Amino acid sequence: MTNVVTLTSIGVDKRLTEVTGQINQGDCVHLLGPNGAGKSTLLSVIAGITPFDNGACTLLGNAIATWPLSSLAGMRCMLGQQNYSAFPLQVSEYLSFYSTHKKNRADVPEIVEAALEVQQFASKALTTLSGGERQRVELCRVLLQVWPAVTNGKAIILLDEPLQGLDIRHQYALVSLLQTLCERGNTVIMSSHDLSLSANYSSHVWLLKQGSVIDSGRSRDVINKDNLETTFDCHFAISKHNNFLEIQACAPISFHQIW
Amino acid sequence: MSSRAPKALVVGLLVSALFVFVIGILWNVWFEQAPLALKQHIFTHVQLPLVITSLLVGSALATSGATLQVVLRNPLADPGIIGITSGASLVAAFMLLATPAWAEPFLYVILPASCFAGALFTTFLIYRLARRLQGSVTAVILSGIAVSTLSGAVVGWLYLFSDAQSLRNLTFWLMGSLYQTTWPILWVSGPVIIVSVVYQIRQGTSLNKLYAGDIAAISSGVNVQQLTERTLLASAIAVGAAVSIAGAIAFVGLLIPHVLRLLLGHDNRLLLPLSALAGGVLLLLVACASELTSVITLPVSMITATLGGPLLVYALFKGHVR
Repeated sequence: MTNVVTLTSIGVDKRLTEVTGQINQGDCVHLLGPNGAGKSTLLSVIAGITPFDNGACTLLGNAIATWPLSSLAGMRCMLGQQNYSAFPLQVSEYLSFYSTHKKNRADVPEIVEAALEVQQFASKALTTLSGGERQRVELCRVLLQVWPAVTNGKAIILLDEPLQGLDIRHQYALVSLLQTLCERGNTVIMSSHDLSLSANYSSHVWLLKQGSVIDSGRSRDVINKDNLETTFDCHFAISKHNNFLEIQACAPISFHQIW
Repeated sequence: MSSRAPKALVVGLLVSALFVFVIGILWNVWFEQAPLALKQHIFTHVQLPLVITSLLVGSALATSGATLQVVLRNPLADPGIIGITSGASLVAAFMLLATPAWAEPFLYVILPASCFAGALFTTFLIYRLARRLQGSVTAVILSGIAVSTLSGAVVGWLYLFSDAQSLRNLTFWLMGSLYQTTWPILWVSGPVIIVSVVYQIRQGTSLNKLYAGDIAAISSGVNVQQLTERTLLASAIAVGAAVSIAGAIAFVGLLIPHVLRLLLGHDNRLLLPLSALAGGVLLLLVACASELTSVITLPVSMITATLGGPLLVYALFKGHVR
């Protein structure tokens, strides 16, 4: 198993402290944690976008800072959180700018189209799409950027809250697409707030809180009542149905005492 | 989304308009009864500089407008609206009135140089402000309005303390004119504009990646900070040189890229070179109109704003500017 990402006591300002861990080829890692836990910062460090103050981050054995931007562009992609373009670009035109296709045409691969269903917006303006539709286009853009690497099973796909805004059908379509890509050797690292979905559709889970990793490892080992309660400061009930984990959270505050 | 015009058609129209307007400018003297020597003199000292000035200034303003809009992620960015031109003309106006009588023969060098400095300084100011107010799309527009208001106020004061001749010169800077150039200025500003415009045009592929935001651009291999700094500098240089030739001409940088985007879409590899061409053609039209009417030389901004105003309102109604 090839080691893809190695983090050694990474520290970023006040956002990440002593983050250490390894991610191997073909892993589907989900980062879970409360707001402001450092999930986005961690993704951005691995992408080589945010510089770090302490520690070391290597990508395929080489320090991330030694990779030129242009080589990184062909092997890893990064979806940031919602960004609103002020220009009414046509969706097909927008996708074509990021496509590595020789003629810069926006040929959406069949498997991506099956999951994200973006062709129906191809001639619409970006600014007229709803939040979830826009998110599907953004996901498609990110995958197109590294598609040659994806087909070779060598891509590193970093996604910051990719499920944001997606309807339930496309949430499940996306996570199973990502699983399929991982089976071919690609590596996925994404942040999420849907514990049940993450528990069942990831190979590994990292729990983050206040910039530190609480626990990391195989999803079934990491997702337990104690770990979740430490991470999120509220009560959980976990049950198993046909090998499918169900996670329920209880409201952390009783408002009758306050109001 | 409206259907797009084929690019060959747009290019063809622009090129033929270019020839028609150039012929229009040359027309009225060349076919009149006059000694050949006089005709030649008019050709080299009036008509040729007029054609070159129009092409240079129009392409500088339109290309810089298109670049600024993408780099600042603001469809309303325009060298005029974000204050680059007003900063440049403020410095020029100040120099015009402050230059002592003995230095007036050198004014033709002092003015363009001070314009240039003014444009660079304002761009630096706007860039710093925009960086400090990061994340706010309106920040750049607001800082531009602040700079424009400030220079408007100072120019107002300058008006109070100037004599009649200086007032006329001042009006030229504020409204723009294609008739004030001399060959020495063109020899300096021309290459400067050509180099800075060509530089911007060559960044088309990278600029396309800015549409999805900084993270997307960096992750697809663009050094965003470097690109931003260099393209801002290139557009400031182009605009500074354009103002030093022809004064402050409004709206070209807003009008041309918007119309072209409506016709051709947002691909900067196509948009930037065609903006350069169309900007030049628009100012040739203005030059041609004032040559053929030849009653008075029209202030250029009057015409560009008359054309640009309604088109901008139309674009606002159609929802193409948000």
